[in-house]
Amino acid sequence: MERHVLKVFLLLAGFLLCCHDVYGENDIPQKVISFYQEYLSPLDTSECPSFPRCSEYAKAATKKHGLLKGWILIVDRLFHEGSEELKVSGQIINDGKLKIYDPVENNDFWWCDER
Amino acid sequence: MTLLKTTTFGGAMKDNGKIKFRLRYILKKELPFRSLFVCVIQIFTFLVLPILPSILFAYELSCNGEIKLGKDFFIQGDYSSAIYQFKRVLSLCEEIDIKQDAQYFLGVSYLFANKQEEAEKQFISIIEAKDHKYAEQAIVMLSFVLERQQKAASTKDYLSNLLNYNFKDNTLKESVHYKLAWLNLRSGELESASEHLREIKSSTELVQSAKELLSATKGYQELPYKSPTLSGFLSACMPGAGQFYVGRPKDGLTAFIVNGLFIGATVQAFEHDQEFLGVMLGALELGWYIGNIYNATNSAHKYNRKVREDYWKGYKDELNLNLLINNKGELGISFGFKF
Repeated sequence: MERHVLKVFLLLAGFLLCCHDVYGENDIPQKVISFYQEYLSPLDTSECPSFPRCSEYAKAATKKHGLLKGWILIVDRLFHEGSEELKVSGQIINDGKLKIYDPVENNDFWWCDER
Repeated sequence: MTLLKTTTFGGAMKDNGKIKFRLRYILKKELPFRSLFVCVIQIFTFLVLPILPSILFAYELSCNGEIKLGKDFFIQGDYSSAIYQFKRVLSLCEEIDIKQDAQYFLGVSYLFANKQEEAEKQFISIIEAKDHKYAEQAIVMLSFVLERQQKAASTKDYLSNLLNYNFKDNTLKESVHYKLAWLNLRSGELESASEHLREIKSSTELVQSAKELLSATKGYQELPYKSPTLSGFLSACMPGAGQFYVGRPKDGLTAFIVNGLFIGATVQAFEHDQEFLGVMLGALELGWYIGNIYNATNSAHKYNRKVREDYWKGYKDELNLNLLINNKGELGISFGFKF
């Protein structure tokens, strides 16, 4: 079992390092998300209840914090984008619809120094 | 009698001729000129004279009126019209006093219209200008620009540096203390907030609010906070437990199911000797697992932030715009800047 866990870690580390090396010049995470936005997102008819929408959020998160922290922020966003977020976050009108205002700053404010 | 009659008759005849001549003269020459003269005098007296000052001082009046119109737009919250109007004043008027007014209010209108870059440029140009009457106000206003750009840390730094600045108007320095106090209260730094509040002594507009805030800090520490560490720990032990703890059962359930499915699938894959699949699933699960812990901690922080915000909502968290204007009460309405 330990061997398998090690493999998982190695795979993950390799993947992150691979992306991180070219990060900036040849931005893989941003390209993947752009591909999703252009080709896959139109197929999905359900609408993101938050603003910015999840793919934009993912772009912003990886751009601000890099792939590793960005990934964690994306997973966090996927967990919390439901109605319960309304209790703690504000709302914004986007395209004539009321949405939960949930930018990256709303989820990293307690550890990220804006400077 | 006869003579008299004759004379009279003859005189009458003569008079008649004179009258006729006179009448003809009046009708042909005198009447038009005199009447016209009287008409002109009357027009001048009743029509032109009353508006003569406005014609003579038309330039000055229009400038004052234009800037007042801009301020009216601002008061009504029509910031785009106010911006247009203040720009108009800047291009029309030459008087320095009015121009400085327009420059400052243009900056403030940009700020309220959420055009932070333009507001920043405008305030910087005021600060850099020589002997601008709003230079000090513009320095303080820049902090509002930073704050609206959601740079809380930079706003704090900027304001802290401002305390070293030698303000001519002590009210402005106290408003900086007040703003810093609010920023500290929002982030839960009660001690430094109290220190700033104690510095407010002379400005009558702020003293009362500062006193209320100081007494409110006592009840602040007993608010029903949730511990982010405990929340994260709970979710690390069992995915979703931390979310339950912070009052988000739906998120908790989602985290529990997703993590449960992925862990189950990973274990199953390894048990059936599908190593590659197992490794892939495990890698994905690791992301979900760490994300779940982060989500629980983040939710606790957001919950605490909400509790803090709700607590302070009852207190006056506004800074009167009039404090930031030379002539107090110039606008006739007090504006609040939300912190």
